[in-house]
Amino acid sequence: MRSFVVRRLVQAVTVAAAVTTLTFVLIHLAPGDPLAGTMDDPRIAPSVRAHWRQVYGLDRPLPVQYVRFLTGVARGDLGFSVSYNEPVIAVIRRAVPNTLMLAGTALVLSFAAGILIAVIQVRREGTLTDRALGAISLGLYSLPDFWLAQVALLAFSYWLPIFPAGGTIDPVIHPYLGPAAAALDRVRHLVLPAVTLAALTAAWIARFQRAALLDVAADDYLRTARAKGLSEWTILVRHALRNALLPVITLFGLSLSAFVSGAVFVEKVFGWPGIGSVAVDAVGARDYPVIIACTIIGSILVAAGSLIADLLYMLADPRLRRAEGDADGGATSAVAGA
Amino acid sequence: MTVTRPSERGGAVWVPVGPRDAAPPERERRRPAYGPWRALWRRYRRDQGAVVGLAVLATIAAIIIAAPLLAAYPPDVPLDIIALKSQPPSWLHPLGTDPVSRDVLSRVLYGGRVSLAIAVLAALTAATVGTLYGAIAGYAGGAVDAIMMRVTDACLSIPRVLLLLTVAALWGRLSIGGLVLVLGFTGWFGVSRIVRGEVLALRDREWAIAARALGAGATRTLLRHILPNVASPIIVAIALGIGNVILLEAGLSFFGVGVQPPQASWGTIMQDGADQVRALWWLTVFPGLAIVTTVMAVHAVADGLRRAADPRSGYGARP
Repeated sequence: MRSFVVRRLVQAVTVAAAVTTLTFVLIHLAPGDPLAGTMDDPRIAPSVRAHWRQVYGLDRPLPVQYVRFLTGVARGDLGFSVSYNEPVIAVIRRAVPNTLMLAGTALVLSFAAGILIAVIQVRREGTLTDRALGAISLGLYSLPDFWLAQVALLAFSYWLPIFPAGGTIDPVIHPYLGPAAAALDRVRHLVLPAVTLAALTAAWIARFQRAALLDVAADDYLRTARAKGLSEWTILVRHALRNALLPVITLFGLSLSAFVSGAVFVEKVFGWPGIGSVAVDAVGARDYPVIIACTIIGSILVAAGSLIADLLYMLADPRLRRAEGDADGGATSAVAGA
Repeated sequence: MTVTRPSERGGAVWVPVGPRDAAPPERERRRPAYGPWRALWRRYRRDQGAVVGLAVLATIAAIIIAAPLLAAYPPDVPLDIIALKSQPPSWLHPLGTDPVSRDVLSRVLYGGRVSLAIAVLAALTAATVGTLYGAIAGYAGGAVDAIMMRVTDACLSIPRVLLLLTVAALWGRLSIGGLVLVLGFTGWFGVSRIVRGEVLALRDREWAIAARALGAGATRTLLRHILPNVASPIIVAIALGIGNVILLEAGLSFFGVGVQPPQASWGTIMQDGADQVRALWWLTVFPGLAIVTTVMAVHAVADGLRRAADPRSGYGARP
């Protein structure tokens, strides 16, 4: 068990190092250097350009630059943002809690909804309800995330103005609200983006959970439960679901990357100030350090999340605690082929 | 009775071998009357949803290939910037016109060519890279495999959209070819894991050992003997990849980092209406419907293929 923990820790650190290396390679494969966009202007004297390249270490040999980049990232020094006019780490530090809140809420919602839909589908297997829910899942699964976000915005904030159109709080009245009303204000702003993001992934989870439930449908313990005279719902929820949950729970770590990816466009449409919005804005502003930091931090969040998830399954499932022979690095990667 | 003997791969794997003097089977080996592809099609045909999906997909492909015949107007040329600006759907312009007076129907038709071409090429690129990488890792095994798979694990935890935004930002405007490469090279991690798993399971099967015993090298064993047996999961991965890339390309183009205007793609058409979604709803709704219909059909086909190839399996992930 300890070797498993150590191996997963090493793996998480590898992810961070690999992502940092990859972004470094990308930066240097790209035409020009990070200063090319702002500095390669004929109105700037060559000596000034050379000076700034020297300040940023861009005149050093690549291995030196690589080590500087790597140690910089390790120390949390992600460079200076031109468009925000402050260190990148400050921008990221403001954005990360928002992304965590949005993606975390969506994660919980989508697993709850996905599992519920699958249970209903399996209980009514083969009926119109099952087929209709299956078709809706397939439809949701095929929607572009930003498009669903736009339609949700149009429907529930313009046509039926139930929810606010964007941001995390109401900028005008929020400071004057009492604690309960302030919390409600936050929740109201969270509903649309979180439900949009959750809907897309819930469909995927429902399809997976349905297959897992049907897999255990013929197992002996279900026949025993039936022979005991338990109701079909009890059998499904307390016996079948408990056993069919594990393959779906392993999706948890795997889906984190999809959540952060999906959050990018959803955040942007809803004006939710997380790392997705920051990244899209940075592309528009040609603010390279910010977007690179978003990628690195996003990947590290995903790696950390799947590490925590793996450690939690191990506590939850005695079979995993004993299964040390699996050289494949944990529950998450066991289904990573999906 | 079955005896076992160590394989020539260092004795790590034990391969069951029949007794040397086993009598030949009494009946002639019965060959099925059709090959593996016919068999796949026969199983595929049983799935109603998959057949409908395939029909829809074929129709969309036909419409898009025939775009020059069907489109009444050129896709990239403003018709009349004053009189025909932002017209709602009408008989002359069934899907309306955009803010620079281009016919949206013509743009959706031509844009479909761009979106689908990017999706198919990127998915094929991803499948090729992923297959080669996974095959090498699975066939080599040991430390090579472990290192190669750790790299894939690391890449799998990078949110793909952020990686794409990074590349788009660093390269500035990407050409269509560049977009295909970028989407292809960020989409192969999943495929490589699938292929690696299959190759690992197949490389020490009797027929693979027989091929090597007959003098086939690693390349030949892989390409001629092992990979053909991995074909169906790869085809399913390509189908899912096409669906994912259509969605991704639309998103990137919508935010101005994918296909560049004035080139039409389903994402760029929506981008043209992004500022005034409420007023110019036809610019968002119609390309969106085109995307949803296509991707749903692609997913239905992928599901059908998966069920036909392997009735007991789960579902693929979003990007």
